[in-house]
Amino acid sequence: MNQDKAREFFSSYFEGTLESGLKQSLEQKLRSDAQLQAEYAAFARTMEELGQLKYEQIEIPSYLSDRIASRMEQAEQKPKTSLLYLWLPRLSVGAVAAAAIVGAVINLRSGSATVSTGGAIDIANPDPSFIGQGSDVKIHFAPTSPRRISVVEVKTGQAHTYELDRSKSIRNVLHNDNPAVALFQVKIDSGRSTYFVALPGSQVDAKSTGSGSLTDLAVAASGHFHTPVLVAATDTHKTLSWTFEGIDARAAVQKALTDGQTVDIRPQNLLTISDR
Amino acid sequence: MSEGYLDDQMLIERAQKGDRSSLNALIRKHEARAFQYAFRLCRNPDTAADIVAEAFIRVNNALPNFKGQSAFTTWLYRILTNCYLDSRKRDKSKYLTSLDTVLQTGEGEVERQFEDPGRTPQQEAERNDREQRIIDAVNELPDYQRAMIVMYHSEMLSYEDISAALDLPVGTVKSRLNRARLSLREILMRDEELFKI
Repeated sequence: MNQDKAREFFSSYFEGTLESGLKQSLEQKLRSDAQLQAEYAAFARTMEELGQLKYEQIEIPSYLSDRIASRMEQAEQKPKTSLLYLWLPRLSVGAVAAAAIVGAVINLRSGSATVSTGGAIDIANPDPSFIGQGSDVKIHFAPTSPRRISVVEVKTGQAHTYELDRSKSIRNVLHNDNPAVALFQVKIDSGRSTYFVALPGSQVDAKSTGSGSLTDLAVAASGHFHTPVLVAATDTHKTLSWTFEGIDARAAVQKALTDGQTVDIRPQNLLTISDR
Repeated sequence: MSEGYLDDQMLIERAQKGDRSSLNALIRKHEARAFQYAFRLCRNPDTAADIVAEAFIRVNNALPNFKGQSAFTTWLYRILTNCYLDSRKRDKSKYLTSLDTVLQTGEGEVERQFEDPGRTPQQEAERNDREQRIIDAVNELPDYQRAMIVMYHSEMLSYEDISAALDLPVGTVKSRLNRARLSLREILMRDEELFKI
């Protein structure tokens, strides 16, 4: 056991959870390595000091409740106003809920066509369109009348709302750096139309059976087959059961669906469950 | 009738059906603990209050989809951590590192207090010094390591709780916490005067 390896075991050794074989090896190393022994002694002191942190008393400011209430009221009453060009930074860091709405662009339109900063032409479209882009999904919405689109990352509640009209359209890319599947809810006009987008994470979910709602199925399929899944259904609450067999995601998901629900592959390999 | 006695699950179910008073009760029930966690991360009461407010806005947004697969508190810790990391990105200049900072409350200024069962004044001063150094050292850690140290040692979350909150395997949580503690050891060893036995 070298020094670096030994240090990896300091915490579990201190807490008494180190497996007995490794414990013997570590103790042997500590006996024979004075520097490491001193390091561990300092580590143990640090752990003792850290144990005192829980006794710290923190005063709760009297303005806390009011601050929460007023901010929530502001958030509910005042949706974000769309800007001419709106670039969203990634919403998270590292492995903590790193699902992001990347590079949102509000495009100015003239007449029935637009010119976006990306050089593409946006055609007026009353409904949002979703396009697979590897493990990401691109949303494009170019309404013909005033509409509000909200994108919420379900696990964290992080939300972005845009007010669009004939003069403004939007392109967003939904992206997920998490190990686990990320689920986004896309609402048009406070829920008149609602979509869910499940994006696979970096880890594949080996689980092949399960039960739950339509969005649970989408999340499970996304994780198992490592593919984005769009749910465009009016009834997402019915309880379903599924068993994923083979590598054909579409066939596997279709088996779990009930009457009236279908699954197909939309542009750029986006598995889509719908009942509309 | 007060809903403070209801458990989280019942409050959440009612809030999901549009019961605003249940949502408010849920917030009242958890806001203090949320603030303590946020304050331990950023060491600024105003920033901590902003983090907590943002967190509950996100809770409100995502509550319709919350299925109770984890405890509400676990979910809240996740959201609070995200809000803290987002605020760090927005403004890195707001963070205090000194225990001497006073808190502004409705009753005036309040200095931070530590429990001290039966120590002499000198022992108490030395203890406060050591605790201040630990807190200052924690503040020097990278944001993510700081969050994990605070979750485990201040908030007393288990490895499994942290794993659920951060959506990481338990083994990854343990190894990252070990690394954070090793980093703390390095920071503290820069001045060992107070730690010599």
